[in-house]
Amino acid sequence: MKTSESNFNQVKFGFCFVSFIKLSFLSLVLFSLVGCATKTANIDMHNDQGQAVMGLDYRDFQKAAGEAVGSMLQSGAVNKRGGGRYILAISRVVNDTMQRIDTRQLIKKIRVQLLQSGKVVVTTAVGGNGPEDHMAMQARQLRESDEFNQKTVAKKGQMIAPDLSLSGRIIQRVVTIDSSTQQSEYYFQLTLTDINTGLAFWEGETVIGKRGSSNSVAW
Amino acid sequence: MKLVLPLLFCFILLGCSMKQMVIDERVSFIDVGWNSHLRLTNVLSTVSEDGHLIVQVKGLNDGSSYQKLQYRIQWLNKSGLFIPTILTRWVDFPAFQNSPFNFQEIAPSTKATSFQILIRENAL
Repeated sequence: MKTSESNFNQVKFGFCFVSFIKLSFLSLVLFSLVGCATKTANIDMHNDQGQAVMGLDYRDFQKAAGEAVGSMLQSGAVNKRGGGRYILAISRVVNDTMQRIDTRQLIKKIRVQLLQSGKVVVTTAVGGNGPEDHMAMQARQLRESDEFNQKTVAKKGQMIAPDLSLSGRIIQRVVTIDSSTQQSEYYFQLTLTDINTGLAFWEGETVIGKRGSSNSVAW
Repeated sequence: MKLVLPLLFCFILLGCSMKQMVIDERVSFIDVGWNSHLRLTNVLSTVSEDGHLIVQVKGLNDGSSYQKLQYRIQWLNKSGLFIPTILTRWVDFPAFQNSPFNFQEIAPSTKATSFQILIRENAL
């Protein structure tokens, strides 16, 4: 009887021990997995020391936009004779890279800064890809509506035509250095055209070069 | 007289070896050690015809190695308040060995009347 009891205890102990080992192993695996996961952190936009990427990131857009605005202001191209502000229309900015880029990201930074400079006002009623804001024209259809107080509807001949047009292109060139290294060159080319004469008042180019592993695809 | 002459000679030698250097509270070097080879030599600010403040900073790298540096300008209005702008960002510039370096910036609007510049080594 004693023997069978001790056997039972031994089996029970063995079962518990095996379960304990299994549980410990599982916990260890889970902990190591959690430990290996990359932690998510907010980027410090004022002091981003993060590694460069082969593609374009926000730092590249900031650089291109900052250089363009600085160059435009220094050139005097946006200084209207006799004072006042130029009306700027945004023409087409072509993305000629392998990446999917919304060029409005670049243009928005430039136009915000130009507006703050007090030299330029951007029109949203006309643009290279059609009006940015369709409401300016749509609201004029209310002229035919009896439901609206006609005194509050936009009058004819109130819109202001643009003086300048901003157009550009982002180009990418990939150069293979050797079997394991490649170089991506990005060219941000912008032109400010006087609509009246068709002459380019200002032109600027920012080049951003990146060199890295051929395995990192730049798109 | 025996002491005066060597002392005078030492002073002359010391005077010749000292680099031209300016201290401008609007420009600060950060993250550089006590043995840094970076010197500020000139800070010039002027107002353009259309009223924009233009700043030019000149310095010297009297070390024997090339340094990749960065500067950041914050623009202030006449009340001393910072003007938020995309032009306030870390900008790379080179400082070649035993050579002068310089950079120039234009204020984002005519409201800027003063500035603060930070210069540091580019850690990347």
